[in-house]
Formats: sequence, structure tokens, C-alpha cells
Amino acid sequence: MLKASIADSGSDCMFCQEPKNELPSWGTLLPLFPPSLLCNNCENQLKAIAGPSCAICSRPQPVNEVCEDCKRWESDPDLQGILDHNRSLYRYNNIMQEMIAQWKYRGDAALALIFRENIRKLYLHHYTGYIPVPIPLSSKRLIERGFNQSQLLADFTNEPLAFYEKWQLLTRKSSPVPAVLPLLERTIHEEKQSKKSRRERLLAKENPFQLSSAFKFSVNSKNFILLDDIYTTGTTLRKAAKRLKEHGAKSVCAITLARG
Amino acid sequence: MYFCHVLLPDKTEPVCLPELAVEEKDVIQHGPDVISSLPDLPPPPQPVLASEHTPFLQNVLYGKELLLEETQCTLEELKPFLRAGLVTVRAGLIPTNKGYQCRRCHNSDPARFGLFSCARCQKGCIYCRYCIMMGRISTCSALFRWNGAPPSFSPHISLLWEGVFSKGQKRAAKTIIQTIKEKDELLVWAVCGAGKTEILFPGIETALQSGARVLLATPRTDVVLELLPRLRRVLPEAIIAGLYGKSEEKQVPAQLVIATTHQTMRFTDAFDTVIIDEVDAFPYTAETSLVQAVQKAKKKDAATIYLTATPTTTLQKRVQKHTLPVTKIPRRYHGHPLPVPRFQWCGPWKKRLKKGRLPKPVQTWCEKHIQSQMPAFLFVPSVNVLETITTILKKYYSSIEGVHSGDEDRLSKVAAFRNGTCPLLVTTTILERGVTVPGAEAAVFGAEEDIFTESALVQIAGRVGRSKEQPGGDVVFFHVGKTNAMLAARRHILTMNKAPANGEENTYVKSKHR
Repeated sequence: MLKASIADSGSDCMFCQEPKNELPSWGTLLPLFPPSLLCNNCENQLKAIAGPSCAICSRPQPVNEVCEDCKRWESDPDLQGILDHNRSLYRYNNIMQEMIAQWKYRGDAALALIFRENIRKLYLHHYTGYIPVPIPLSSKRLIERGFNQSQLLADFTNEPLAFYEKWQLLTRKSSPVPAVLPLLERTIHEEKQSKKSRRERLLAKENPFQLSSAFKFSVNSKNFILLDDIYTTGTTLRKAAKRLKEHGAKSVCAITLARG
Repeated sequence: MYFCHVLLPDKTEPVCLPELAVEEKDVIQHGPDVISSLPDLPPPPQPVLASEHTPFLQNVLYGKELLLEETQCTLEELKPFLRAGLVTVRAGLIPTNKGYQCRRCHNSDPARFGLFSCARCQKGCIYCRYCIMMGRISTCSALFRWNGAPPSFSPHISLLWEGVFSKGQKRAAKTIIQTIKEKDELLVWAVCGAGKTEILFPGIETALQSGARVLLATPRTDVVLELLPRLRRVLPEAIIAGLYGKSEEKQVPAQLVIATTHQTMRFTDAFDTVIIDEVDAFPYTAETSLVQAVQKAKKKDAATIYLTATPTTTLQKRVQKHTLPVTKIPRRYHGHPLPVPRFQWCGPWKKRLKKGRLPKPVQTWCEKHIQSQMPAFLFVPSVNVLETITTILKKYYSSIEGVHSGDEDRLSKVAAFRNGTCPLLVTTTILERGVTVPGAEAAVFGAEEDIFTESALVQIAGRVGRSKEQPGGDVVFFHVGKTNAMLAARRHILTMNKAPANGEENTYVKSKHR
């Protein structure tokens, strides 16, 4: 249940709230694809991660290699191979920063809809059959914020897009997408990650996550895909992945909105 | 967080309380439910209770309506005040027949409300996306306000300002004082460079001396930052707060508040005098909700003063119908007339730009200014045009700069222009107001474009000849076809120049004609 507006149609850009001024195209007559929620100006400022990047954390860099930070992670015997890899949709540039601030901190939950299509596409493309798991919030933070941003992103993996995709699914006879499972719980209430320095994040040893006791579900030899908003140092995702791997998960990957 | 309408044991009128503040003896009339689903209650009477021992809450909440997060208190801490009626609570969204209306920003456009499933009320929650930057107001959010005695301020305020007014300024300042005393409305129509800020000083002083609270609303953060130190210097005893997007003074109780129009949205029934700077400027005319925000921020019988060089047609009509008192200052403080713009046809410039060249007359004008080191503004209609022109000019003259609203180096580039290291500044309309560079001249490129309205063009012409030493200067509109806006702008300036500098007819005050 997430809507950008309670009116039938909105013609303004979802982020800058200016009129979109789109020229009519074939899509207007034959709406196979949902109309874009952003105006051209905002859309163009979002920079997708394309081209060479780190094989593990998808940090953009000149060559397709494992980056220094990931080498450091992999050299730790405790954490080696804990997170198979992370894929991020966008670079964490100015507009992304503003969008995430408005979305998470000002509480504009519906802004997530901008990314719905691309999250779903990325998921179908690379992770069919993986069980989507959102990164949880502590109950205190959840009440404070009113929603869990990772949950919203995880829900998008389960939402077929338009007529076009439904038709594709039918013809390909692909297996249905496994339901989102909120397998993890955050039992320790911490300061916001964004308020800590890199060093503080890496030094925080204890793991705030636990496997939820509400599920009688065997994690053993299954594939999981974690969803979160930003990959900054990768600490959060690795801590969450560790809990799943400890209980025998076969592979844990991550989809994040932005690579910080 | 659910709310109920409750009849307290010793009261006759029901009050709205959070579920958590309800005690056993209370009689619940409605609820518990999401606050916006409860019917509206009439405003509760102000309790007779003394409230001197709670200066913190009083300071935070008086004259405002805040979300719980903004009050810096927990519900447990607010509970005794809510039960005593010192703090009251209302729904943030008011149900209407089309959907909802936001109580903070008055937005009622269904396209500007989002929906999400809320972890607080466990329901689908509708929220206002219009004022989301100030924190989310959804169907389950409550707004808290102070219902006790207002904070009192010291009336011992004196103005420390030793400037001298021109005749026009003196008359305007006098009219402003009169308006504030009579709690009336007034339009101050003063040309660019007339010294609008100074004429407010005596009026603000009078208002503060009577113990009133004053709001000075302005459309831009830059102006707040510029006015704040100036007013603090001339009114050293007054408690002054400057509110803009990133300021940290939001909880300071102040008798004089200088705020961007967005920040005024948080206030309700708070001010006895409201002064609105640049009434016609963006985003005022574009966003009617901001006008409503100012209406909401002032008390019912408050003095309202509009300040502008270029009143909108609505305001001008009201002046003609004699429903809005006005005082005009048609001369600049140095007494010289405004420079009158000349028009220069420059051919189909879009084609020229595509070929990477400037129209001939524009090029000559730019070269003349760069070579003679005379500072010059070149106003362009859009960021795209700005970038093209800057690259063309930079090929020959590397010292010129281009600025637009999204430019991160905007402040440093303007500073470079001020101190003369950059001879020519290409700019979009962001610099049309408030920038003073002595001896500067100005040109408008593509003056026939829609973005250059009459008021924009008058403001641009107003950049020129602002100093006493160089009261004249060249203003050119380069165009491919005159528009009504261009002609109206020139007519506007000519009329202002023709008006007698200090005639009685420049001021029209209601009370004289009653």
C-alpha cells in the first residue's frame, strides 16, 4: 500500500513538484509502460551505475576488479565470503542524497515508488528464486519513522509492473517470485548509521541483528537477497548476512539503491 | 498513537487527549481513533491557571502548531499540560469532501497527498507531500499548540540608527507607524534602490515598544541572512530570530521574527504586525498557500504591510479601487531618476547561438564592457542559454562567469563580480533582486521570453545606477520582437520618474477619506 497521490492522475514531477512538461509520445496512446514519476530534469540527474565497478560492492572504478575495501573485508576470516555481492542502482550523488533525505528523514514514504520499476527489474534479471529479506529497523526507530524503507524496497520485488511484464511472465512460464520474508530482527537500538563516522561503523563489533523467532522457517541451503537503501561501508549488510550464513544459508546477496 | 474525546471529571466541555493521557475516571465520548477521524471540537477556553512555571513549553509552543517530534517532549511529559488545558491538540489533516486539507500549509490538492502503510497507527495513512520538507503530517499526526498565557517581552526597545531619510522615505515611515498603530493594511510601493529596509525601522520600533510581536516575511533565505545582522545592530535590545530552511533558532521565542515564507507555515495566531517583503516575488504569487500561511500566522486584527517595487495587478487594482491604502516612493534615496531601458533588436538569436556565435549587437555590448572594465550583468532566459553564452564568451575572455540557482559556487562568483575581478556576469533571473553593485550596467538577452515579466524587467533595470556617485547607466533589452511586458516595464519606469518626488498624492490612507 503505497501511492504517490490520492488523485487519479498527477502530472507533476514527484520530486521537484514542478510540472513535467512531457511531449506526447506513442506511450501516451498505448500505455504499456507506466509513465515516469519524475520530470526529465530530475531523471537526468540520477546516475545509474554502469561501466566497470567492483565485483563485490559495485563501487564505480576504472577497472572491473575487487576494490581495496572489499579486499580488506575478504581478508577477515570471520567475514570472508559472508556477502556474495551487492548491486546498487545509482551513484550517491547530490540528487540521490536529497531524495534519500526527503524519503527517510522527512518521511516522504511514497518517494520510494520512483525506484519501484528498477528494483523489480534488477531482481528479476539477476536473482530469480532468491528470497527477498529487508534489513529491519529497531521497533523504536520504526515508530519514529512510521515505515521501514528497506521493507518498501523489498516489497517492490513482489510487485509485477505493468501489462507488459505480466505478459512476459506468462509466456516465459517462469516460476513465481518467492514472498518477502522479514526474517531478521534488530534487537539493539543504535544511533543512526549516517551519524557515525566510517571508523565508528567499522569498529562497532556487536551484531544488532537476530534471526526472528516468529518464523519456523529453515534457512538452510537457500538463497537470500537483502534489500537496503545505501551501501556505504557495507557493515550493516555484512552483519545481517552473517546471521543468515550462520544458520546455513547458501548464498546472500544484496540490492541497494545507492552506492555511497 | 490514537486519540479520544474525553469528558474530564470536573469539566463540562470535552477535550481531545491522546489515549495514553486518559485516566480511569474520565468518560470517553469518541474514540480511541486516528485523530483526523474524530469530529472537530470547538476551541477550548483559555484556562485561568497560572503558567509561569513552564517557560520552556510556552516558549516552544506559543503561536505555533507543532508535531510531537518538534516539541522536543514526550507524550508523558505533555500529559499534565494536556489535561489542564494548557496545551491543546488538533488533527494535522482536516477531512474535506475531496480528500483532506493540511492544517499547516493549506494544501488540499489530492494529487499532493501520498499514501503509505503507517507503523504508528497500523493503517493506511494519507500524508501531505506539499510541506513534507518540514516533517510529515499524516492522518494520524496531531498538532500541539499552547493555550495558556502568551510570553511577555520587554517593551524597552530603542532604535540605534542615525541615517537620514529622504522626504519620500520620511513620509512612508510615518505612514507605516500609523498603519501599525491602527492595525490596518498598507502597500509600500517604492522603486528599486529607494531604501525600503530603513523605512521599516521606526515602524518596527513602535510595534515592539507596544509589546507586539512582529513578523518580517521574505521570499528568500539570502534576504533573511542579510537583514538579520542589520536589524540586530539597530535594535540591540530586541530578541530577534531568523528562520530559514537550515537555521537552528527554530525554538527561540522572539518578538521580531525574520522568516522565509515557508517557515511562517509553522505559526498560528502569533503576530500583531506582519511585514511582507517583495510581495510579488517568487514564490509568493505562484504559491497561494504561502499567502494563506501568512494569513494564518498573523492574529485576526493585525497590521499588514506589503513592500514592493513592482506590485502585482491584483494589488494595483485594489489600490485603484481604494480598498488598499498605499504610499509611494517614486525616487531613489539619492534623488536621481531611474535609468530608462532602451530596446535593441538582435535578430533570431537562437539560430546564432546554435552556430556558436553571439548576435552582433550583444557581442559589441559585451566587448565594450569587458574592455572598459565596467561591471555588467547579462540576464538570460534559461540555464541552457546561460551555458551556451558562457562558453562562447569564455573563449575570448576567460574572466567572465555565469551563475544560476543550482550553482554551488554562486556566492564566490557574485563576490568576484562585486570586487571587480570578473567584469561581466551572465546570470538567470536569480540575481534580479537584492544585488547591489555600484556602477553596474545591465542587459537582458532574449527579453521577449515569457520568464521576463514586467516585474522582472523593472527589477533588472533597478540594478543599474544605485550608487550616489554613478546614478545613471545603460539598460538594454536585446530582443526579437517587443512584448507587452517590455513595453509595460518601460512605461512603469517612466511613470515613476514623472511622479512628483514628494507630493501628497503619493500617499493614500483610508482614514483620511472616511
